[in-house]
Amino acid sequence: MPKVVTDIICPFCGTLCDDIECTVSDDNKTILQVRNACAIGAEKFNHQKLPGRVTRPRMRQPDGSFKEVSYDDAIDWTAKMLVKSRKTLMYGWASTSCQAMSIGHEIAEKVGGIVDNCATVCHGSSLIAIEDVGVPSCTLGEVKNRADRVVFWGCNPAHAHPRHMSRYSIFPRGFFTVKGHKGRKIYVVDCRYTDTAKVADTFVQVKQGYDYELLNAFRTAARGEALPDEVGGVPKEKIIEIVEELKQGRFGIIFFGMGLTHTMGRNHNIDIAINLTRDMNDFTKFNIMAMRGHWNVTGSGQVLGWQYGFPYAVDLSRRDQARHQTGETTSVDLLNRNEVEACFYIATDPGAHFPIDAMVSSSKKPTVTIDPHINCTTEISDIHIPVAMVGVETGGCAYRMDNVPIETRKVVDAPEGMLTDEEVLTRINKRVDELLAAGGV
Amino acid sequence: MSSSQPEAFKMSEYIIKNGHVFDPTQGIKGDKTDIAIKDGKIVDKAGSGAKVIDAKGKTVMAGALEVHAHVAGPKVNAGRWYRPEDKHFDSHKKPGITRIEGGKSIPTVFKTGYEYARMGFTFAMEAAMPPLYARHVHEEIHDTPIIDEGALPVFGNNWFILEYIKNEEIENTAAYISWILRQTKGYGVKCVNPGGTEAWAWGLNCLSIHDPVPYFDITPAEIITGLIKANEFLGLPHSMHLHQNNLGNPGNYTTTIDSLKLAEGLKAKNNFGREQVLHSTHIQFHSYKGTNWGDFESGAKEVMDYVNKQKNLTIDTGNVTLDETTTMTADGPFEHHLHSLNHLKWFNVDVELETAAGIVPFIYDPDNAVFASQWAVGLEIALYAKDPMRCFITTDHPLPACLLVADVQEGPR
Repeated sequence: MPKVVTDIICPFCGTLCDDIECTVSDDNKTILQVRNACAIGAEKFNHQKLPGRVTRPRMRQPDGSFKEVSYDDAIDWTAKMLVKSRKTLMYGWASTSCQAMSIGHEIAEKVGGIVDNCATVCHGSSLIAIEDVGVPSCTLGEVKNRADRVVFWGCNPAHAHPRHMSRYSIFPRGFFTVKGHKGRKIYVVDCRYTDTAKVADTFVQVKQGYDYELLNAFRTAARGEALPDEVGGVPKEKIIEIVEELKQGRFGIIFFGMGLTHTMGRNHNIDIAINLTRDMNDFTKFNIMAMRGHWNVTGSGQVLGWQYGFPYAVDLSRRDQARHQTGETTSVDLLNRNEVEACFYIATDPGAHFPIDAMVSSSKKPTVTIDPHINCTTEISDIHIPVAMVGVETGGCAYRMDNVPIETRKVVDAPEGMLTDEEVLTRINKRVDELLAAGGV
Repeated sequence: MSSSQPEAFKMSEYIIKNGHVFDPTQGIKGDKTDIAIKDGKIVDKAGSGAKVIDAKGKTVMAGALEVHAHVAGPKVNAGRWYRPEDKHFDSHKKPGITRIEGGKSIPTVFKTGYEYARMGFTFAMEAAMPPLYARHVHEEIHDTPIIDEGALPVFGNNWFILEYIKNEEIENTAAYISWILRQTKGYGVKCVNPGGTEAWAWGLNCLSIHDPVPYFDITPAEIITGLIKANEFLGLPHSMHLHQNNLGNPGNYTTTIDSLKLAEGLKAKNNFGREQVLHSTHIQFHSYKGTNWGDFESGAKEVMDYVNKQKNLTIDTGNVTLDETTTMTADGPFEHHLHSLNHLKWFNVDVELETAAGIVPFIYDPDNAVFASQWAVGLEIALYAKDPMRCFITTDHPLPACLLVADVQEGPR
């Protein structure tokens, strides 16, 4: 009889939905049905049974083809690459568990790696802004239970975090928000009329690249100072009207995404959005939150935080000191300047997301990719080590976008003989120790 | 990473020679005597093969305990990563140590473990664990080397607790506390700014113990009394651990004494020989007279006179060291207030059901009269204490001051 596994944590986006149910085959090997997940989340579970899944490490041959090798051989090759390279980019981590990260960092400290996660091409600019001005924020449960003014600025959860709106931000009825959607005023600020904008009470179409100016105008209006007739394509009257409505709320929240982090101004856009939030606290309760995208990227920032004190782009290549400097220790810049001697990618696909120049540079270096699936990065790697899917075939801790830690669940068995990230990293760590004890490579 | 240590320790014998030994439980006050250790325990005599540790000119005592500090969890970690500049002051790898150390006022887990150990500490209690973030606290404790850590979950603004106490259901309050302690692997009942932090979720606060908590229709006084009673109902090893309302404001010593009076007539019930029912933490911050920072003065005498009289109270000092630090507390409204004083970067995390933490970098400048007075008030508290067994020395690391920079060079104390 197939059985139903409940309370599963979705391993896709930063929302970490914790109410997924799967029907699992008798032999505990196949997920037959996924309930409650969004289309993207369901697909993540279905990847588990993709035909043609790679279950053993593959090594690149001189003719360019891949040949299956044992885990032992792949781990030995990886450890030697790490020990030999004076500076290795160790990028990714967002789809693995915090326990695995911790082991990875230990390796990085020994071999002089630079540990970076996908914040580097995502909410890194938000983290820079927070390093500059702090951030008043809250958990998503606070939003569900209290928020009556919700602003989505430069983000489109209808596509990127599909269940965010129903679980936390627009529709749910909470302790102090018994009217659900009807008790909240929803604002969407975007340069396009998105699907999220369709459910908003007020849509504000900002001219592309004018987010900083418009946020500045919101601050100005909040302080009751004079405004020009129009800012970023939005009339003065509209700005004043919205700010007054926000002030009348009991609990406001701003969610922001790539529309702020990756348009002109970048961290300065976030900086002023945070400062608007601080100002609004003089009138009512107001918070702000980054819509973290890639599943456990938040967890990577946390583990790096407690071990080294920086949330991403942590350079351990000096081996006696951790350094963090955007533009200097960030992955894309390191690759563009050809500064690393080897690349170690895990649980993220830079090949699909980094600028082409960076990946061209990467493709010329010894490269290992640890990932459950074939992806753009595995195709430019010397070794691909497939592993069990975290959150589907093995458990481990992950952090939601509001930094809440959630222990994920194993739903089905991984294909026979496949190792987990933790196991592979533990073995690499041991092999690195042996090599270093023997005086290097 | 520390898993191999107990094993190695177990197999060995040590003898600590020539040190001045202090053991208040046996009345040993600085006698020059040897201590033998076998299989991790103190014994009368060690074998001839015992490793000799020469402690000449040094104090030998039981490992120091930090009863109230912020060493692990979401707000501590936010303090770490949002202050990259803190790593510029002091960040390195010391010889003989296996992991990189980073941070000055708010050190990484590695540095936290190493520095406490260097100062002779063997244990630190994380003083505010939001139940929702318990897993994070334990992940950091797991990664902290050498020292032991425990954590106190916070209860003073918990929706269930507020409801139970309002209905005078002490047994239900106790049952809920028991469940949370088990779920979060907590060690006792912590209460931070009772009612005030819940009010902060609406941008408000409770500055006296009789201010009503919005919606819940209950006062801080009722919360404090209810939690003490529930704590004694359960017979927990620790008394209720209170961070009082109205922290850091001139004139707050009356609020402090009012809160302490709530313990009058309440008796400790437990199997641990504990007599106190209430521990009032970092009391230096709650012992101010005056009406503003201009006529601000010490209320240490008034507060300590009361503490000395009441046998069922314990306190810790909460000393300020005059230094740069990263203040952090589960008293969200206080940190907002602090931010409005110095306008440095403000971090706030409101958590559903219970607590709201705030973080603000702060410089306790020795040339500033207020900070210098706070430094003196902390000393007065300890000097006025008649019973040293009811007064603990703390700095509330890293809130008012970073304990970990306090003269590390002095070696073990």
